[in-house]
Amino acid sequence: MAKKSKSKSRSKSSKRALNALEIAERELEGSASDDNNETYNPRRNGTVVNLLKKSERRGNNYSDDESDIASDDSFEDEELDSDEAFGPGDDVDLLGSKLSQTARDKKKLGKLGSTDEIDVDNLSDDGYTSIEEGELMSLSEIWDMDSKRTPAPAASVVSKQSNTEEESDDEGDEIKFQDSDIESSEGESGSEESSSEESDADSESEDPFDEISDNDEDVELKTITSNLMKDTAKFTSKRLATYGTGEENEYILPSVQENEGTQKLSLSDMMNIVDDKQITRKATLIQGQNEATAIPLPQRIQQRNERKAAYEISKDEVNRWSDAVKQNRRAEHLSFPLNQKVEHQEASVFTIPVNENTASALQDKVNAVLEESNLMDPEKNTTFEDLDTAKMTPEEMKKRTVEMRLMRELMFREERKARRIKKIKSKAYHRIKKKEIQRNRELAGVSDESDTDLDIARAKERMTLKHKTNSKWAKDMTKHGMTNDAETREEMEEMLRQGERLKAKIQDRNSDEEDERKGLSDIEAEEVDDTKDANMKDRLGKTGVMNMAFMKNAEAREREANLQNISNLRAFENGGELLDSDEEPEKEALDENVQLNKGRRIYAPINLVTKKEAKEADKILKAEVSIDNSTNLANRLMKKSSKINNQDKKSDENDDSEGKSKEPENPWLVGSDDEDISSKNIKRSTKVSVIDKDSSKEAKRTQKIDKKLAKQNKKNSKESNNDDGDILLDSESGNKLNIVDPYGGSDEDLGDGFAFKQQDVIADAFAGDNVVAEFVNEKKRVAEDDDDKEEDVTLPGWGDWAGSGTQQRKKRFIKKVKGVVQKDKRKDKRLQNVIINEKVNKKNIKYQSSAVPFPFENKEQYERSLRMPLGQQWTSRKSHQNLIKPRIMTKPGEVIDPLKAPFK
Amino acid sequence: MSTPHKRITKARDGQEKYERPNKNNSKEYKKSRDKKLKANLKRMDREYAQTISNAAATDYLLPESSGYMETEEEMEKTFRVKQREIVKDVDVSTANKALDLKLNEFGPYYINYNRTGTHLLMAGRKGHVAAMDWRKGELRAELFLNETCHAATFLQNEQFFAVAQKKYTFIYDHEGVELHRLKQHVDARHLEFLPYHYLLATAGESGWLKYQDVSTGTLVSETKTKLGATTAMTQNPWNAVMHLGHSNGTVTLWSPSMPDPLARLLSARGPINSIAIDRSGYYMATTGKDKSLKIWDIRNFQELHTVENLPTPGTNVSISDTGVLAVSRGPHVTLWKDALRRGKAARPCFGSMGGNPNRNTPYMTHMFPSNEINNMKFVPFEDLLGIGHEKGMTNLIIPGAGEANYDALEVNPYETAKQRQEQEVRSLLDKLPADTITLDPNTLGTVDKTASTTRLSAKDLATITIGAEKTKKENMDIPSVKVDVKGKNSGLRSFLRKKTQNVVDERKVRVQKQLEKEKTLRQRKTKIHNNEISEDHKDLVDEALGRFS
Repeated sequence: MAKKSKSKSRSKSSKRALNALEIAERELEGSASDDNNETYNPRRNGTVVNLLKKSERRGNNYSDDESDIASDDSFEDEELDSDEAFGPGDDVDLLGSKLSQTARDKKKLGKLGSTDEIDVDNLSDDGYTSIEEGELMSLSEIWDMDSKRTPAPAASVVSKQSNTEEESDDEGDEIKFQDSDIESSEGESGSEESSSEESDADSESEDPFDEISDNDEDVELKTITSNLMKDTAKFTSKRLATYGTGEENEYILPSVQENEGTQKLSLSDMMNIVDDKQITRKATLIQGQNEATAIPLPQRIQQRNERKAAYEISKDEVNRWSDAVKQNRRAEHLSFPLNQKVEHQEASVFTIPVNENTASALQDKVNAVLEESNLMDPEKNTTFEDLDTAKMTPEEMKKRTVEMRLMRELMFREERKARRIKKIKSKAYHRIKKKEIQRNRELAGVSDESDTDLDIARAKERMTLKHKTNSKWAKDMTKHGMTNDAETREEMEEMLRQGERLKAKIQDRNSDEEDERKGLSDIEAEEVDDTKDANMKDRLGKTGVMNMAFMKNAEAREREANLQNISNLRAFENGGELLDSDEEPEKEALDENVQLNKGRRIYAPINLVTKKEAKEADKILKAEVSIDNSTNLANRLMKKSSKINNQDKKSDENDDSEGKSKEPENPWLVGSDDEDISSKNIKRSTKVSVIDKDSSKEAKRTQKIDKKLAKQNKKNSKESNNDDGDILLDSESGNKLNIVDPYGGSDEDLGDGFAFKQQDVIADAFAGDNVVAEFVNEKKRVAEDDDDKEEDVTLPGWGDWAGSGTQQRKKRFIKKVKGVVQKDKRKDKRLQNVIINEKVNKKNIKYQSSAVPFPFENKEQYERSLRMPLGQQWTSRKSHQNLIKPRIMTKPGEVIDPLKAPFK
Repeated sequence: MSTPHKRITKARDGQEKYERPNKNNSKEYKKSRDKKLKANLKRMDREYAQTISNAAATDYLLPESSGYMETEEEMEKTFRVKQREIVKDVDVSTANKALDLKLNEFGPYYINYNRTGTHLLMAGRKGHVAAMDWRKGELRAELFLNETCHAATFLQNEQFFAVAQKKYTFIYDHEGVELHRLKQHVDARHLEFLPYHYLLATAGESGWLKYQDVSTGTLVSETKTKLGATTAMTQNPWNAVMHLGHSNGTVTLWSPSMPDPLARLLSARGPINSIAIDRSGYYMATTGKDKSLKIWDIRNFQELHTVENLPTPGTNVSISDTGVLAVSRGPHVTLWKDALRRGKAARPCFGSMGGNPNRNTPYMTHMFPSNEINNMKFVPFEDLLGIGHEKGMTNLIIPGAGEANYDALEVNPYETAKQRQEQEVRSLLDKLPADTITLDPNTLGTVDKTASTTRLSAKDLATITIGAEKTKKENMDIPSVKVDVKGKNSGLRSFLRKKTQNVVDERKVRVQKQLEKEKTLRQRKTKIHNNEISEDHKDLVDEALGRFS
């Protein structure tokens, strides 16, 4: 805005504008804490009037002396004005003229400011002071004019001020002034606003003003004044602030111009004058903050806040303990005092002192040996002076390091190159490379070195037989069973493989010869080799193990067997048929009889049996072979099926024979043998068991019949489901029939009859007491007794009408009595010959818990906790002690310190 | 001491032996929202595992191994080996244990060993009673009672023994001094002492089963079996339930706290001759007059094996600590090794069964020629079977019949007098009340079957208790106030009339109060009826003061 005004003023009335600017800038400098809006503000702190005065002065003369006089005049004027201020009409005119003047002055000032600022600044100091007087006057004038709204105290202050200029040096007045100052400061700020608004209005209406100003100034003035009036009306009360400034003398109060920067009267300024230290000290409290201290919170709330804060702090403090507390709470056992000091065994007269210097004899010896064999680390013992590098001169050292570096670099490069080459996968490249190497070698005159090397190795291998199992190491290994160890076996194999590899080269050379041999001829050839070997051996000498009689015999036998094998195989190859070797096993068996098993004698019959079996097996084998040979599939099938049938028949026969063989056994034993079956029957009825005892075979038969019937049942059930009951009955009746069946008994042997008699005797003996039936009845009775019951509690005739023609009530009163247990839920429901009492043992109830006890949530959890008894009798001592260990252990009389902070 | 947090990763060998049976194997029990409870359960499981592992670790402290007599060849049978041969081959100390007392005069003898197996008690039918340290051959007490003696048993230790005589049962001390005559135990034929409950149980001709507490001297319970004379009796060492055999072939199981038998088993078709139960309490063997031998699994009351036709009725049956089954009939004793197993192969058979390896042939047999066995007992911790017969008593050597390792904390065969005294005190302190005897002792301490299986929450409890409160508060449990009825016919009055005059309980007070209220209401009603007061009349003073009433 300042810019705007500047440009406009330049065109029209540059001088005024300059003046305005000058003032504005001065204001800017003066006000330390000004906002942007305020910086644009040309007039501050009620400088509206200031400007007027100033412009007047400047317009007249730019001298301080004059201004002083003028200020004096103005002061007087002011007094006058104030007296007349309450006059109604003509004041406006006066003011209007004055204001118009100010407007002009302003423009002048602005122009001046723009031309040379420094000058203005220089001027400003003086000018400002000169302005002060004028300002006072003008303010009072305006204030007087608007006195309708001015508060009375302000007026009084002003009047007081004006009246008591001379004797206002006492402190009370000063303090009073302080108050007024505050007010004034507020007023100033208010005036600032007003002035800014004014300036706004100015700037906005400047164009029209500028245009109009020449034509009719009166109108312009009026508008401005009216504006001012409006603004000042709002803030007049606050204008008082600057009142304190007046004529300079020693009693005058410090005013705005003295601390130009803030324009505020600070306490310290005033305090400098005061001698009383106590008061100054008190006052310093206020020094820092100019604002009034806030009203303290109500005590209640204040305390609450304090408590809150205190709680937060204490919470943090307590939270630090939580870990320790948690740990202790969760601990299964705590022994107080916690963190008991470990008591070490202290040295006493009886303890053997340990001398550090004395080393054991063994240690000394070991050290000596190490030193002797130069195994002691020399580096450790040598000092720096003994090292090689220490003896070098610095030049040598440098040279050496350079060399080393070079070497390292070269090596590194080589390595990298090698790696790169290694990565190349191209075969062509490698071929070329190989050839190159070959060429190089040829050029160098080294030819086929490797071949000779290999030859040597091979020769060595042949001579030493190093990689064979007959080395000392290998023998040891086998002897000690180390071959079972996976590692050694692997090593052994590796060794053998090595030998093989070495030998393979030899065989490779002979491959042409070997190619001729094939299949069977191989074996023959080996045989030939063997004979050759034998010849060789003959030639070698007549001593040694291989020449001993039994070895020779064994060899001869082996050879013979081999030959026979070969001949057999030849025959097989030619005829396509295996030789029937039936005779041989027989011979062998006989041989065994005679020779091998002298301890055990095998009799012919068994032999015969075995032979029979063997024959049969052979037959089967042959049949299979023939089946396999037969080309027709159908044929095969036919044969196979027939064979299976045969086998079945045979097995049947066997079964029969077994059955027959069983017959002549001890009847008593038989009886007991088949008791399982009979006992099953016993469960049904006594009679059944009795009859079953006598005849084992019959029982079997009945069982068979049962089985068949069951099968039929199954079939029938497939066809019709509802027949089941009848069929079951059928089977039962069949059983019974069998029991009564006379021919079953007649079929039996004498022994069976004997058993029957015995059973009969027993049956006779216990004929009277029908124990089983009684028991069954008892069981039924108990079941019914324990079952839920329904009682008919209807009283006949109760609640009915009597007399003829009455109908009987149909409603019956039935009481349900809950029994011990329902019939279907009895434990002994499926148990034979058992009645279990289901009544609750009332005396036992006190040993049971009526509800699941507290920490547990269900029965399972609780009962699981009972699983392990704590008693010594059931657990080992150690676990017993563990189980009964109390949670907190301390000795009586032990002082338990409070928990120590673990976090400090 | 090892840290409890140490985790057991690998189970020890033979740890299953020490494992505690758990009915509920589901992991449901672990599902809980309560973290603390969860942690506790976890800890419990850890402790359990640790304990089991520790127990298994003590296994190596049982160095003695038990073994049976074995044959070299298949055709050779162990039951053919004679006692003479065994005595000849075993070491001297064992051979010395094969005691054979010839007492021809007062026969047949009933014998009994004390729990440690150190002392032998003999009671001849004709009144000869003797207590002796049989290993040392020291006779401690010898009595000639001149009265029929049927049975005798040691009590808590060898210091006392009871004898069932002609009419009464008597208790003697170690020197044979008569201490008590149990005149309530009339016609006792069988005596059993329950060591953990200090109960002497008797049964006999009268058909009564009586329990006498020998530590306090009180008769704990007497029950009528209603099945006539008791023919056989034995105790189940696992749960202290008495098994009684009767003449109708049933075996009844009794607890002193129940007037009815806990279970009834039909085990023979004639009178039961003898009952035996193995140490673990799993199996029971019975012999009957009908020549039957039955082996039961009494955990689930199922018949394991039935031998219906013994050559002659088995008179006695006994099971050793290692599970050797001995059956006597007349002069014969037959023993089987693995008769307590399930399956056909375990069923006891007589004879060699034609060499069939899948048959349980007798382990040993013995015969007392021209004699009859009266009773037999395996000697604890010894490979011996004591047999009381008509001509005295004999110890047969049965290799592998005795428990090889003893628990000195429980029963110490080598205990000194001091140890015995201490053990007596300890066992008295640990004495179990008689009514803890049940079929399944594991139910003790558990939650009652009828109770809720889950813990009631506070809410549930509140609803239950508040419900009761509410009914009380609303006077639901007393007759309601009825204004219409006349004073005499009031339900409240009749309620009061029915109550005992001189008893003032809370309910009665409430009723009186209600009655007063009823009265005032009635009076008010009549007043309204008589137009003395308007219908909406309110006695303000009364109302104001009403709050204090």
